[in-house]
Amino acid sequence: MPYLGNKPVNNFVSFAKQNITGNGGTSYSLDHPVTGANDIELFINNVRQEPTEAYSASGATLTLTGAISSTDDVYVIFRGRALQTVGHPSDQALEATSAVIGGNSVLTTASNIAQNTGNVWHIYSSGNTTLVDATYTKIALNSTRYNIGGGSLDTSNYRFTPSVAGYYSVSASIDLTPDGSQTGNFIVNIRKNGTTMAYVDAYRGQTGRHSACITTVIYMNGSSDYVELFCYRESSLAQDAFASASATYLTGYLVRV
Amino acid sequence: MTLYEKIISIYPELSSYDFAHGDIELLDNSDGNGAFISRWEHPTLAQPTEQQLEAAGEG
Repeated sequence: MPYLGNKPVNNFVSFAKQNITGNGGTSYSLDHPVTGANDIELFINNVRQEPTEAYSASGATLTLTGAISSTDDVYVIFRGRALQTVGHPSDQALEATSAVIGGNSVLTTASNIAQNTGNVWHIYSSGNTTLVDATYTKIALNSTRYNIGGGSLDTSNYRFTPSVAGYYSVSASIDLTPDGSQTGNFIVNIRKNGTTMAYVDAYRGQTGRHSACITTVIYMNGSSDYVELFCYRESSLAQDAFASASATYLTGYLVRV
Repeated sequence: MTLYEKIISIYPELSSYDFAHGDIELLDNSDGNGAFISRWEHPTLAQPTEQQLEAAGEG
């Protein structure tokens, strides 16, 4: 027979009955926890007892005002239960206006909610890096603004090695020193293990500071893979890479494992 | 004299060559050892020897 209204979220619930064998005492255990005496009907020798007067109930404990013996016919009908577990129907979308999912958790996959523990870093050079004509020069990244998650900055070889495997968003910027009026091309170049992963050609067309930036995604194995930042400067230019944590840097963070 | 200038003095025809995207790459690791030829795959010109580069620097 069809029914009107919304589909029940889980199942119809039947009333339950529990027989109780008296032991000469007044306290007995209930099969299902309840919130109070009105949640159950208590019958002793088929005479219904008045809730809160003849008995009390809390949780899984039934307390009578008088003792019963094993010869008494005692049973309980559960009209309500304190706890029921209702699962979210698998064929319905989960919708809510807000949700709190413990701590700083983020949704990483549809079936796994866990905190993103990948590396986050922002490294830069504490001094200008001297650029060489028509040469890819490694930027001397030796300082840290952020390094979260256990990655390591090699301040001798100016390379960063993440400690967690996965796909990283890696960005870099290089700002040329503002001296001189030369014009020409320069390149911002991100390399993984010595191999170019991304670059951008830029042009210094007038006096003043000029910078260029680039972003890419790089898979890092979390152990031996490292990234470096290079700058190519055309021979017509004479500028160096300006020391600035906010303008000449290499930064990255884990996107997904 | 930079490595680039030495190479140009040996092969003047490379003065207009694109060292940024071509078959020759110069690299400097900022480690105090200076620039070096990290890749030389030019189809016709041979990679300069150390002696040639030293001589170019003295010239």
